[in-house]
Amino acid sequence: MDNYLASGNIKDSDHFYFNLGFELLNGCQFNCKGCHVNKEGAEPFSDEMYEQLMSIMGSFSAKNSYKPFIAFINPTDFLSADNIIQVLSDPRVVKVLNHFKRLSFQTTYLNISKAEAVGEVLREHYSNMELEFNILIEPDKVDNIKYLNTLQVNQDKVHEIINWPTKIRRFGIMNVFDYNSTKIAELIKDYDYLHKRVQHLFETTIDFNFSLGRKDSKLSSDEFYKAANDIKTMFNDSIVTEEKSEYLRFSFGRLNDSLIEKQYNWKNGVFYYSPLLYERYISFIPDLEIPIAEYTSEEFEAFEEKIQLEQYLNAGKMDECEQCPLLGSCVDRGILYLMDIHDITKCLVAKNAMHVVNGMGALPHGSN
Amino acid sequence: MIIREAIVPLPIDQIKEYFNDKSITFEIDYAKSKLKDTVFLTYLSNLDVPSDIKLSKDFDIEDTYKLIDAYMNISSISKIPFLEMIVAHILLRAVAVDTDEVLFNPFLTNEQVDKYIETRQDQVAKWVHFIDSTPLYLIYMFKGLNEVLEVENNFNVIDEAQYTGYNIVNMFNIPGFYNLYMTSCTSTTPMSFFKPQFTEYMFKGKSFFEYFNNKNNHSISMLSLAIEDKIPVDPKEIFGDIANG
Repeated sequence: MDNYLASGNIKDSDHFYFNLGFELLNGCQFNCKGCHVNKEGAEPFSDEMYEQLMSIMGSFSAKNSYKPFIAFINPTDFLSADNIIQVLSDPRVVKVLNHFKRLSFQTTYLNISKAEAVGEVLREHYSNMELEFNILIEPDKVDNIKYLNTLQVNQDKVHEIINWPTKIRRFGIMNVFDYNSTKIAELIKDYDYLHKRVQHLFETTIDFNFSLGRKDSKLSSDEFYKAANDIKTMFNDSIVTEEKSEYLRFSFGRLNDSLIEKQYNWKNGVFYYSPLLYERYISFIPDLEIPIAEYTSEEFEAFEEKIQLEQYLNAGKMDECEQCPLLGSCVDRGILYLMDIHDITKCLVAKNAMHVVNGMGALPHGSN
Repeated sequence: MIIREAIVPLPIDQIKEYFNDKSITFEIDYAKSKLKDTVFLTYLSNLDVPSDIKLSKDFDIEDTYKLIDAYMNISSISKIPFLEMIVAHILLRAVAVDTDEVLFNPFLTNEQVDKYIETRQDQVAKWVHFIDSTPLYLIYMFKGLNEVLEVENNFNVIDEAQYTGYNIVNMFNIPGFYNLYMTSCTSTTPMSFFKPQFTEYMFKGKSFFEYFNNKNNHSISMLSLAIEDKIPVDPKEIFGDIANG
């Protein structure tokens, strides 16, 4: 299994990675369970946005010890989005995105009728970049052979149509929602089972996407905790042996996953902090907004330093964080910040799985 | 080596400086740092860059004890020479080694160390127990020898990864410490086989061997040479009737 490329230790690195999620796409014909994307929320790309983003890209550069790595083209299925061609062929967007090494898209592969046109625009404007296609799989359909076959066939067809000179990376995503509401709840909650059903469709593991963070207002404490705790339970129950730890990229498993990789989201001219809770947490609530005026990396760094210190100083208020050896990693991921803004003191992290994955010795029985 | 004075958390600019110059070691002013005790050590362990602590001798002794507590109990590993030497002092005193002859200008006085041992008897005893038991690990490393002695079957087994803090692995790389400890100590603690510590990759994904076998601890290479008859020592003379516990 490949490791996430941007993972690394400070001592082995000479720069930070800079990832940015762009809310650019509008329109999607699907209604996937657990999806809370505002399908028409992206405002038209303006000259002002362009100037601001170019300033940001100039600052997140080698001179300031950054390498732009992945541009996530969000939020809808790119093969289904109404404005995909318009966005990707906009010369201003082309210029901004070409600062990155890789473009990342997500798709259900359920409608691939635009694949030819998308391929053309990608080859014309982004031919020097890597591509990453994240396949969004509906967890309650993993026993549906016809559905899985469609994904497989369409994925192969799209890759053939896009005809990219370098290998297109493939990752798998499932939305987090109340799996008890499905007919196969017990199966879905078994990570091993899920993984084996769909592992042929992508390279590594399933990333669990907390799309519910995209709701217009901040989640209630109970709503947020339940979603995080369901995934925590699944990982702890399913993945607590070293043999199984080979599955784990899960955007989360390694202690250093967020040490040198910095990720933010951009929506309609505003930048947002993006914590890493099993998968990058995308939300546009004011608590996550990064206050900037000059559009420089220094303003992002000031925000990072502020919430880093806040999280460490708040560790004592949390139920388990202060004495936990995973604390540093959770701070890097912004997990204590998420806990704090949602008034949660209980641990959100699958500690048993983390200990196994990171070779830290199994926790005593009864720990979670 | 370049020394950079710092406090923690390190400002991003200092991390960037380290990106460009890996010869930098950070000398952390603990008193001025915004993080303390376990959180301080967790931060440094997670950051994992060369660092040491700077502390004035008039720093509050109880706060110093709290930092030592954190170092000895935390389930992560931080390479901090300042704390390693303090803990070495504590362990040597705990097993009645005369430290005046071997430690020059130690940070804590013998009286301060003795008070620490007196007030943390269980914690110190666990560290002593583990170090006292390392000859079993040494035997366990040699398949042929252990086929005879079967230390994992003939000794009390402790199956508790968090029995001591993980920084105990740093002790074996302190110049002279292990040899002095093993040759001078008067401890009578019965040895135990520490199952997770001796058999799993639990120390930052590494086995205990990675920490135990180093340029400052020749016990593995000495035993290897002895077994191969390259030095005139019979392992049985070292371990005696060890199979009987």
